[in-house]
Amino acid sequence: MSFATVSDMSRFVTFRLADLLAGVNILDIREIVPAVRIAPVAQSPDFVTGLINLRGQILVVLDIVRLLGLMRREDAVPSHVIVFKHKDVGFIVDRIGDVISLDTSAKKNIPANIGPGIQKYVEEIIDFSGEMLMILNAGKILSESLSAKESSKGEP
Amino acid sequence: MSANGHPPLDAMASEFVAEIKDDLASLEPDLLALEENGARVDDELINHAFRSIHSIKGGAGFIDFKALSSLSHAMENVLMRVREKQLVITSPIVDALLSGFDKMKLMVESLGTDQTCDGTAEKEVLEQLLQADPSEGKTPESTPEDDVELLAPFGANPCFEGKTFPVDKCRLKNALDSQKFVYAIHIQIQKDLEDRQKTAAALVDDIESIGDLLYSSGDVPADETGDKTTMEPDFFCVVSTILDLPLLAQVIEINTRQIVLVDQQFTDCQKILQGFAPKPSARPAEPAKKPEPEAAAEPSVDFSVPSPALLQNAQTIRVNVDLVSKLMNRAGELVLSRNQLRVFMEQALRQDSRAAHIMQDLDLVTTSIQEAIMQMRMQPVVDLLGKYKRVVRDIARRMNKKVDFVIEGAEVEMDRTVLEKLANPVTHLIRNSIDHGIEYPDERIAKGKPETGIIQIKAFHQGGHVHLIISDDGAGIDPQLILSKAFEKGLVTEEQIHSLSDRQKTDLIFLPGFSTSQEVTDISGRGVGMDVVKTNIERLRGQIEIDSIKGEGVDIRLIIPLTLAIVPSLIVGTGSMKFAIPQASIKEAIYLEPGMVHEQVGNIAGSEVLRLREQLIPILRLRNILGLETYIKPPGKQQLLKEKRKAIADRRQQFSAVEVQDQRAREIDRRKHKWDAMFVVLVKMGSNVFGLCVDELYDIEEVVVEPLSDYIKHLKWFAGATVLGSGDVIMVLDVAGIAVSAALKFDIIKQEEFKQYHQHQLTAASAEQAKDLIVFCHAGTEYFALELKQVTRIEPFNPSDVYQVGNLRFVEHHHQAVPLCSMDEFMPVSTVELSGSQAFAVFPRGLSSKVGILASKIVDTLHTDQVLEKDAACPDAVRGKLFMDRKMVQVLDHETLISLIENTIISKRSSC
Repeated sequence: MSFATVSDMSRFVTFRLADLLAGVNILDIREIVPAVRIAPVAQSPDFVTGLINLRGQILVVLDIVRLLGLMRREDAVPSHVIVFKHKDVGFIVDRIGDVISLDTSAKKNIPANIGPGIQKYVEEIIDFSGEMLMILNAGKILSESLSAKESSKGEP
Repeated sequence: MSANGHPPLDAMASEFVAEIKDDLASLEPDLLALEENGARVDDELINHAFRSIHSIKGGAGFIDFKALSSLSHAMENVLMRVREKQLVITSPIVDALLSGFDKMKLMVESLGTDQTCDGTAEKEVLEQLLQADPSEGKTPESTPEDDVELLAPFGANPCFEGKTFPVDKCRLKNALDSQKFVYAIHIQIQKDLEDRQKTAAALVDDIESIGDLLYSSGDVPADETGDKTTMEPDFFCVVSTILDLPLLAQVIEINTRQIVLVDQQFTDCQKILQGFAPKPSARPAEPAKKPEPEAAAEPSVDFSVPSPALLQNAQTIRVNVDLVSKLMNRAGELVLSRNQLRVFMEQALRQDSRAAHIMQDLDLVTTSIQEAIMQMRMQPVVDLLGKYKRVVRDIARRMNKKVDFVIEGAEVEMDRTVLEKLANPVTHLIRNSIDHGIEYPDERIAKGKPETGIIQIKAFHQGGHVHLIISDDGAGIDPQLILSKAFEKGLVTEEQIHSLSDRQKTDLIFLPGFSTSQEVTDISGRGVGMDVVKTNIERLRGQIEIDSIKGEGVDIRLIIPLTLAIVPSLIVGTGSMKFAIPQASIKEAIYLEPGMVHEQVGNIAGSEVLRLREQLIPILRLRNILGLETYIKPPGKQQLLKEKRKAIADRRQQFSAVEVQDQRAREIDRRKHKWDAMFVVLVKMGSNVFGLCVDELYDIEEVVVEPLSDYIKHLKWFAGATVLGSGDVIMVLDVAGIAVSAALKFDIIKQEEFKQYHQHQLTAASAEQAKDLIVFCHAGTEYFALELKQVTRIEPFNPSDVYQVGNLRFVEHHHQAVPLCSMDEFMPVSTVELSGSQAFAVFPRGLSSKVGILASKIVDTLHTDQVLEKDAACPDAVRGKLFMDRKMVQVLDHETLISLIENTIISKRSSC
């Protein structure tokens, strides 16, 4: 264990995506709401799950599994939407896990053979109590998925 | 200063610019009011205008904007002369002031851009006014010979009374030339320095840092700090600075009451100052008020009506619009949460009265917060309409007409965004009124009208809308003139000329390309006007109506919704999804009955078209456009099946008659089943109309359209998203976007329609205009036809529901007893036997009261020009005959029919 200063310690919300464990910085998150009443949007890119009504505000819910280029498990039932602070956007996740503290000063470590989607959006992969935990860069996902919409647009 | 002649805008400067803009805004009404009052000078008004210009000058000085400050300086000089009664307000003076004002406005707007504004021309005009001022020659030169000038402040504070301060004339002149303020400051050593642990030197330092110390009494030793005892308890100094009074007071930490402005007007007219007792003023912040020597000699004039600008000085703060919108959204969320809470708490509310109490409080507070926030976005219409005072004045002057402008209902409020969008159309309407409406003064006198015309704008609320009535007492609109102009320009056909009512003729001015002006002036006559006005108003989902009495004037009524944010929309459903279609783009909604679909829907090369009133209307299935999967529940089966038909009419057309018979024989006729019925919403996009085929029509809801997130912004089918009252999120359809995505099909249908139209033209033997006829059966095989546009409506009724009173028969229609009339009563035809389960009443147009003509059956509508000539055997009311599917149809003449019916009813009534 390195001698991490307080500022190097960040807290992350972990959640399940398909078979994987992932986490995002808690400071990027506005709130977490149950994934109910998501209205699908016709003709939208496949990574857009739909719209939800958060106390009168309309949020876009993105399917992070698709963004990362993973396959969604057939039997997976999304449980929650993680709503981000900066844009009116949320990610749909399969299950919410614990909030954990991590030392972020450690060297970035992404195995070279990881798929392009994960390469692009994952900040680092760490060993977390025997399981692989992907730390996602939420800002990057939010900003770069915007440009991805054209390529993955559904057929009319 | 930057290279382009303007100072760069930093945060501080933009604060000043905002202030200058405010001052400018309050200046214009003052100037106009000055002109209105003419020679009766209202002191308050001038002072107010003066103050505005003065603080503009101050602000301009602060941000080192020389062009603006020198121009405002020149305006100030003119106003000062007016205040001193050396100059009488005349139109040229107000013109000069207004043009100066315009330039100032331009200058402020060009700040921070690359444009440069030069106010020299305006300044020269203003200076010439001063030169030409006759009273100037009389003002004695009172400048002292030596290089020291005595300044004598007065007014604000008794402590300045009788004091004079010798000031270096050269330095004073320099200060004044650079548009600085000159203040006299009274410093109390005890209070201002010692109590604050401050030394005189520090104070002098403070002063020097913001301006020049021109004079100080008691010789404050600037470098000596200890020797306080030698100083007098009070001392005075004169300071030149660019700061305005409150700011100065803050900087040097002296109470504003101890500072007084000794501006250059004191040096200009020192003579006047001397010999008049200072007049204490309650407002030290304004430039010291001058006692008027002439005031006593003048006849007293009633100044009791304060200028509106003075009344408007209510307390306001500047708030960012974004912040208000955000607050409004949050208030909406609050309401929603409250609603959800209420449902959740229902149980508790019933059991515990305390909970009910809390809920009630929450209700009240939430509602009042929401109302207050909504009100924040509202602006009184006077904010817009007030500006037209100037517009009216300027145009009227340019055209040598005399026009008064009156606003009624100035306090009526409407949404800011709506108000902004009204500016353009209203300007146009007012220009039109002055240009075309109000006559020249001599014409008006000749007509027995007062010389000065009146343009009045009246604003009021009615039924959730704001009504704006713009009326003038001018010449009015001559419908005949409009008609002939429109005909000249080829906007109406010859046939239309005879059929139009006066009102319809007047409405022709809304046609694109219409103009009555003989020549194009810079005010109007380009022929784009009213068309654009109408489009703009309609874009606000408003209406425009014209009422005109020739020779007496025109009323133009604008009916505008209070706010743009709420859009009444029709909620439709296709498959499991709901969508909102803004009502403004809906023409009509049609229900195609089960089994009727294949009769009314045709298929042209894969595009579906609806036959409706002899028109081919392209229809699009929402399901197909949006790529939705819809499910149907076949009769007799439990599970849902995926809908596979691509087009509605596909299978219907393949069925032969035998198969249809077969199907009928089945237990349940599928085609009669509910899921086979469908709704077509006809939507309009410009001149194009197309149908959107949906499965379900729900309610009309007032929705708040929210813009789409960046992720789905590119979906051109949607205009936005909205939250329904139920909390569901649905998409709002964009009709134009849908039409664009279906553009190709539009063309095919247009071509087909064109082809059909041409064929029709070819077969038409006679040149007579084709007409739409409605064919109905009177009795047995006697068929009659009436022109479709002469029929208001057709109502089915059950013959058993006919009420007989004497020889009159009635049916109930919309809770009214409507008399029925059978044609055998006035024509040589057979009697209608009211039997069977259904009969019809045809209501012709143009009757004095509602009367229905009995018909046993409605046959069809017919588009034809082949009406045969009238022959000797025809009864009066028959115009001619024609043949349709081997039936002889007698076409009724509308006017004769009407008079016959009227006569019959009257004779029956009298015989009753």
